[in-house]
Amino acid sequence: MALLTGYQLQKFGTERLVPTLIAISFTRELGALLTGIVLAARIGAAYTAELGTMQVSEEVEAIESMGIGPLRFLVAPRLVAIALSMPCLSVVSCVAALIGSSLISWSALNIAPAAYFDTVMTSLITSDIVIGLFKALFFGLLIGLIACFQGLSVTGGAEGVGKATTDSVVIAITNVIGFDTFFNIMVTKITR
Amino acid sequence: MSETPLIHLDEVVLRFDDKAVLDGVSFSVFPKDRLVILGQSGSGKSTTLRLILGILKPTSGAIFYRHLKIQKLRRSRLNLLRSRMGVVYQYSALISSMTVRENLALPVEELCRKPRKEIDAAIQKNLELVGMSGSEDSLPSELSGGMRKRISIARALMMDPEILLFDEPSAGLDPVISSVIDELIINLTEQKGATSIVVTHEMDSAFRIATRMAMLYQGKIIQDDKPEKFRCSKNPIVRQFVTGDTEGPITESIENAGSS
Repeated sequence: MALLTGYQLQKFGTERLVPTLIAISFTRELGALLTGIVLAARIGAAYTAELGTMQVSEEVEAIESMGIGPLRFLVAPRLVAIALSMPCLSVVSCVAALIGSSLISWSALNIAPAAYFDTVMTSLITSDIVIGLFKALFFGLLIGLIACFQGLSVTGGAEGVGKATTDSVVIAITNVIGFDTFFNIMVTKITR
Repeated sequence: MSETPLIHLDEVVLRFDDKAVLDGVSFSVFPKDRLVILGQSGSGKSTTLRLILGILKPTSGAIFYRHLKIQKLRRSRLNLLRSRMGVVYQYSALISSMTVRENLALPVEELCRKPRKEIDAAIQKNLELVGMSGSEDSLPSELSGGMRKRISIARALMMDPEILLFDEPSAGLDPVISSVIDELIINLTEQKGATSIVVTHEMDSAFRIATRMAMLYQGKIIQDDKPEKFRCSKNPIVRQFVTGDTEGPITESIENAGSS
């Protein structure tokens, strides 16, 4: 992103805007979005496959027949785990993006790292960070809910588990992108 | 038999779309009974167990646990009731990611607040009862079918249940292990004074275990009696099922269904 926008901005002599662009777009938008897509594919798929296999091998029913609520025992801990890990991983992705783009800006656009991070620090505002973290938390819950629902709805053995896992990833990614767009429209309207 | 039945099904009907799986099933299970429900594959035997557990709700009719109407219970009371029933599933249904110890400890840890020492002692005791001491740290995937079944029985015993439900306990096991499991069911229910409902279509197992038998055919109980009455039943359907003859009303009905 730094490279692509940097070359375009260079034509107008405004490549110094790259650190600001990266800082705002990642903290407010791309950090949560990209982490959401990765987690939907990794953790969401794992949740669906695990719960789906438990469902077809009667393990979920066995838990229910013991008098233990499957929602409390199987779904709640997974939701808490993914909802809490999403903001943390989103922060990691933002930091990695800032470090990566500072190296690119240094080597390709001649922006020194010190100057880069100075600009980043002045461009970052608390509300962007809070919005980004809130979105990450919400996306975590969304991915977890979709993955667990798909897993517990599996019927039809191994084929059913495969289909539910694919569905889970596709639905979760589509929802994450959809809700992200909706969030952006809302936030822009409120903060304008 | 004037005592209150532990489980009572009253004209239970269960339909999936247009198909009636159970079509007016009634029977009672009294304390210390070992009731074996017989029937062909797909006749609704396991479904009956699911209805008793409250996992499925009947389309009409009522299911009682003593005086409690199971389908009317709230989730919390239903869970409390389920904790008094031990279930052994056809394919054991042990949690594959947990060791034997964790599988056995699960219901107690989740439902009661017992100290660790007490839970460990109960695990040891129940593993000993089913002849599986020393397997605490094994994963279900490391055990054979018969071993898994025994662990599943031990797990069902962890909450000292009033009633034990067995879904095809000898399915997929060799005749020797199958007999061992049958003996285990008899000994455990006698030692614990528990009541049991066993669903099976294997006649040898059924006659070994049962103090009472009920046969489910085309959604109805066609005979509910003592095992000796089943051996000399006058009902041609029961007779064919017990003897395993290839000719009779059961095969005729399958052929008719196939041709229509």
